[in-house]
Amino acid sequence: MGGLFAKHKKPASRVTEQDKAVLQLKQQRDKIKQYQRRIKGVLEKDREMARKLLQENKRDRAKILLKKKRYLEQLTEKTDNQLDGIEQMVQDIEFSQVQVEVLKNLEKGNAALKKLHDVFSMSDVEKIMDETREGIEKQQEIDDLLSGNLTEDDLAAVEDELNEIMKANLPEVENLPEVPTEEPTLPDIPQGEPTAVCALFSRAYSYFVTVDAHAEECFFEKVQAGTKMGLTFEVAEGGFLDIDVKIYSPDGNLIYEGDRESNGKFAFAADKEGVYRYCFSNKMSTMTPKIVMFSMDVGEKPADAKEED
Amino acid sequence: ALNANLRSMEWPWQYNFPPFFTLQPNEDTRNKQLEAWRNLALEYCKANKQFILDINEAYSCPLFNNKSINRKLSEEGIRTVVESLRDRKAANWVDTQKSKFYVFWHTPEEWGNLIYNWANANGMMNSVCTFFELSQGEDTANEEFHNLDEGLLLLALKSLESKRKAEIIQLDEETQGVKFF
Repeated sequence: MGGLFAKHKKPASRVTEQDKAVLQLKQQRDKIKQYQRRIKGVLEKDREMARKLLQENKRDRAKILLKKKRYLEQLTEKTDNQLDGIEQMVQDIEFSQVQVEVLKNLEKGNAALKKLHDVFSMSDVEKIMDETREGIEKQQEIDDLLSGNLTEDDLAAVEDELNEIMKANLPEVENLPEVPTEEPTLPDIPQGEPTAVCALFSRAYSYFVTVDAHAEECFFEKVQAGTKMGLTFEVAEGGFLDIDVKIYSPDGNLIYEGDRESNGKFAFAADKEGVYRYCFSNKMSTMTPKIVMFSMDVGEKPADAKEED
Repeated sequence: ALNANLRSMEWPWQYNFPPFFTLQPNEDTRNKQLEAWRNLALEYCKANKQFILDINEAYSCPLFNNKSINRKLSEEGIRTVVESLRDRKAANWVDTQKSKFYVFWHTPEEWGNLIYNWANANGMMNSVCTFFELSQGEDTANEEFHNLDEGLLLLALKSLESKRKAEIIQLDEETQGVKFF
């Protein structure tokens, strides 16, 4: 049963409108060709006829025939030109069809390429590259540690030697005091003099700053001569938690430089009045920003300050 | 119509043997006779590029009428030969009146393949051709199917169509074409 029905159902036509146009043009061309063949036949017959008439000396009749022949030859030429026109049109149509196909396929290729690019997203690449670079930096640090002046074997030998010396020079150190198990009682905090302590630090603010890779963040403090200043900083986040620190006096002299420090505290007295500048530099990092927590404690004018420890 | 330029075809010995033109009663003999007739008919048509034979014109056809021995095959005989050919898919009636018949010295499928191969070799894939172009165009002048009978051409193209290698286009009464795939 299925076979019977399948036979009657015609599959979709693969003939386009352009095909039908081309077919009609070709049909026209065929007709012209047939016409030409017919004329050719007539021409030959007439030529033969004219020859016979001339033999019979019927010049006038022959002339008429030749005139007719001439006319037909001209017609043939005209139809040749028409044929050319038709052929050209057919070629043009067929070529544009080819162009359409090419364009369609280029589009398909493009879409496929785009899809692939979407799958392969840029942010994933960056993430992988990041992790790789951090890994490389970590490895570099380990290498630096290991390739210091001494090898591990050397360090072990040093340790052994140290132990030997200690044994020789010092009395027995076996009876070490026991580690206290309870919390020792701490003295009470004096109540009477907190103002004096606090007076030393009349201004103290803590900040967090994010220093991007290759970047430097600077801060400024305008003080009077003799003022005590203290910069406290700590790298809270990022990479190997290290930062470069520089402090400049008002005339541009470098008064403090810290290289790859993770935390620090630098106290100094301002020997001249002006704007002191301190900078955190993350130049060592290729991609990872550092978050630095810092505070610049500025003391009171020298006349009112008390000595501290 | 008879082709004036008879290609040199060698007639088999049976052709000049008078009993050959008489339908034999004995079954075995008849079978042999029909086999010889089938081969002769196919060979004759191939040599003369004849696609159709007409029973009404049989007596002007050298195949069925051997004037030199004054023998011709009767109408009954011709029809028996035709049926014998039809049984082997080597012939078929052109019309319902059963007066004209195709001789398939190439079957429609074979014609279809010949045409399709020509189309492929000449870059006509996905292109349209008129029927005229195929059978009488200058481009097919050296092909076997040049001057192929129109009815047979249609059968050939239909066989291609059933294999999805072509599609016949009929725009109007006159315009007939085919697209090759």
